[in-house]
Amino acid sequence: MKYFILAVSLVVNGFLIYVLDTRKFVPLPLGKFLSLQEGVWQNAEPVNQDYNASIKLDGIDGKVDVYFDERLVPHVFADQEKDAYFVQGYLHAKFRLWQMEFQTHAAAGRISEIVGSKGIQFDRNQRRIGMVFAAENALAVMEKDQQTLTALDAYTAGINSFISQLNTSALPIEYKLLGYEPEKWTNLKSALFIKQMTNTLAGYDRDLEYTNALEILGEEKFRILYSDIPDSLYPVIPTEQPYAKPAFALNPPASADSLYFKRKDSIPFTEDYKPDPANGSNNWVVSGTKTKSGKPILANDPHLNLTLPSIWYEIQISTPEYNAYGVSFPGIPGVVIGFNDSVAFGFTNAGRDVKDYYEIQLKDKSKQEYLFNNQWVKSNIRLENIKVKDTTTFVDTVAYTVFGPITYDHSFKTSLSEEKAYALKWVAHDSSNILKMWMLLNRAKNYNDYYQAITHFNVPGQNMIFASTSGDIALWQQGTFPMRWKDQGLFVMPGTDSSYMWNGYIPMEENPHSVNPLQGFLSSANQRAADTSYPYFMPGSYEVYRPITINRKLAEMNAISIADMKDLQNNNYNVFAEMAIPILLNNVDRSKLSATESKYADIVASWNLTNGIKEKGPTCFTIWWDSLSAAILNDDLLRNEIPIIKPEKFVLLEALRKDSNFVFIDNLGTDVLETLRDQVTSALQKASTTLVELEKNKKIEWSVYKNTTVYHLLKNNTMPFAREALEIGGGSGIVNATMHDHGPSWKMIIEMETPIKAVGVYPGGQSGNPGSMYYDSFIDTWSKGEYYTLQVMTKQDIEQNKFKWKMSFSAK
Amino acid sequence: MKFIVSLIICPLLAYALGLVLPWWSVAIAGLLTGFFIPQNRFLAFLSTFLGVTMLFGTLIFFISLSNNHLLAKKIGMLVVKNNNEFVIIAISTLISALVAGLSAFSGRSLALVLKKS
Repeated sequence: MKYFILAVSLVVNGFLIYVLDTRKFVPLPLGKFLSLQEGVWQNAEPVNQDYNASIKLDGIDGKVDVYFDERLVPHVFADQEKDAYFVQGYLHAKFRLWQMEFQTHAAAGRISEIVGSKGIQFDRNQRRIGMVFAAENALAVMEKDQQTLTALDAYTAGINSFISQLNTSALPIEYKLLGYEPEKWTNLKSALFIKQMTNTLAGYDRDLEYTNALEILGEEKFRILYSDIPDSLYPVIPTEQPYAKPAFALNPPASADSLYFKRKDSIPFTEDYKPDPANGSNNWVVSGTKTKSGKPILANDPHLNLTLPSIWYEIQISTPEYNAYGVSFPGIPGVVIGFNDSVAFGFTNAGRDVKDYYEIQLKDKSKQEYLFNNQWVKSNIRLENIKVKDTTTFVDTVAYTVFGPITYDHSFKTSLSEEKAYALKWVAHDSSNILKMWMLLNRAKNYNDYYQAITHFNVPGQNMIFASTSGDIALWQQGTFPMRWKDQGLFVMPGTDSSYMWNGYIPMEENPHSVNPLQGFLSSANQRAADTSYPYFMPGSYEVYRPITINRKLAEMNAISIADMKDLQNNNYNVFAEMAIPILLNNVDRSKLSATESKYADIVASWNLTNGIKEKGPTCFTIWWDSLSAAILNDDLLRNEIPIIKPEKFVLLEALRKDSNFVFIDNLGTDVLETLRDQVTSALQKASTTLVELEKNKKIEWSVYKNTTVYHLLKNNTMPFAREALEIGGGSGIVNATMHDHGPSWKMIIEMETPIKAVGVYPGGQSGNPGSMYYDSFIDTWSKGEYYTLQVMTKQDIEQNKFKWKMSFSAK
Repeated sequence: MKFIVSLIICPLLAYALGLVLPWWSVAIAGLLTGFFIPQNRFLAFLSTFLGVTMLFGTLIFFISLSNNHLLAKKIGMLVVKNNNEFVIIAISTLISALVAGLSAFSGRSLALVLKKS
């Protein structure tokens, strides 16, 4: 009996420990995960945490003192610039290690190592668009330059000095949740981070869908629905002087008519993991002639996915060479958007198409050879080893052509034949040292320094806004943009010879830019940079309406203060609705509406055109318009499940404003001829069913309907780490571009007085730890449309103890 | 008396081992306590279970309290869809206590077997 009891107790005991230590039975090893000494309780940071520390480390040369303010923003004072990057790396790792590693694992196509086989498709996609290839090319150039090499090495060493003293119990929660441990940081990871950002901002592409749309619609109708030059275009660059003629004329190859514009077959798949086309931003600058202080004011708010931990980490870096303040990317050294004692700089996305697909003819399924200029040419085969958690490594064979990597072939998209493939030509693959730009911007003193700095930048193309204390303002659309003949790269191009290849890049001097314009202000909001007089073909994914509000306001504003700029960044006016509502109200047939339907038309009619928190108008309008758009366009576009992409919103709006008999209005699926009046009326009837439902669930007010949410990076898996249902207005096409999970990821306004006055806020917090009170401490301020003063700390502030904690670093 | 000794020794030993070993070291503490302190198996279970509950429960509670229960609420939602901090504190405590108690039971059973032979 005793033996039996012993045996049973040992088995039960052993089994219990096993169950609590593994993920085999429940998704989490609860014993480990909830353990007092090893688990999440070690991540529960006291709300009165003392961050004071004296840290001695190898790899640091001089002395670095870091003063934290009450928002946990570090003000780094380093005797040597190199040491500043070392400490920046250390701080990024201390507060944001998991996100840095996770994002660079994602960039490199290594998610399967963490999540297992469900990550393989994503990883293959990353490898096949050449993310690692691109990062390696960039790193080679960055490491050839002494300045960036020194900065990167110091930054990497700083991160690793933090990782090496980290024990299991102190690991960030996400490692405990997912069950893995951090590896050493490398300079390549910083390059991967840059390429991940590049993909986010310059990876959106519609070549495949456009190719299908062309085939379905024919050239004439395609041009109507997929025009990219709106009537209401307000270009980034004011056309004060005519553009010079292009360096040389570009013409399509002779075969274009038959092989390019009249292609006969569609492409049965579309790109996976497309970046969000809403990734964009606002920035503007006004000259001293328009401000109360007589000094320029610069504002910037980059729109990205809203995530926790935030993509941004606020920091001041003070070295003998410069004193910069702003936000940094955990993943690279330096200040990315911000200012120093003399200049301020900010960015919005150019949105230009720098990514094309070429149709490749392979000799056979081995992908070893492809047809090019009438010969079988050898491809470079790159074997991608994708390690997968709990199972064997997946090996993917990626063939590189003269254009770039073959992203799609039979082994990835089985709908393709073994001989047909699509290769990717993408500026992101070119070598460049864009880190150098930030190294130089951080220490820039004037316009010339800014100009020199931005020459190092190639991709993702940006509208780089600038102001100086000396009174200059400037905006360059900077990047390397391919020189294209008209319509080149809108569709998949033949890749069997060299005639469709890019003809080099537009010289930087011909990039749209403006310095100290007569109008006294400059702005960009992801719209087309130049009007039709620009001498090059510039396709892209562009915003139309945000810039209209911004430019209207800036033109009429005078004696501007920081408070006025806050109002503009928080502006909820809906220009799209202003233009679209007359079409709806003038065409809706009230006699056919029920009382409920009529009520929704009344809400739209009496709406003040602002997407405010409590408004019902924006919800009713949005659903009504979307319903109309679907009724008019879907019958013409959706055929046999061929992947397609919706035309830009402005196309339908401008067409209906000009012509109430727009050819697409009639529904091809019915025998009768529908009029605009029929379509607008039935669209409202359809929208009403949705609206009734929303009203019943108390979800019709705009901010409730939109439900702005800052997700944790693991999205739906970690909803308790997210912040949901934030009360905030705004939306697509609105200056306050806050959508459901996307919007102003950093808002900054800088007045170029001496000393500089600055305010800013981002929807997150300085700590990446969900167990810290600094994890989401800025979110409420952000959603209220309020700002923090960005306090550039000085030696006097330190002497007067105007800081909360001090962390001093020195050599061991 | 043995009950009290066991109740005090086991959690202290578990805590000490936990400083250097993984979370399951609480089992070693239970096993050793059970093995060396002669008493009824069930009392061995109960004493170590209660001891660990008291010490670990208190420690976890104070960690969570100094954190304003920020994390406890989130982890509670994540693991058991309950944002009452006491629920997740209790679950965390009981897991260690149960492992300690069962281990003490096993330790005692082993001691009894060895003594017999």
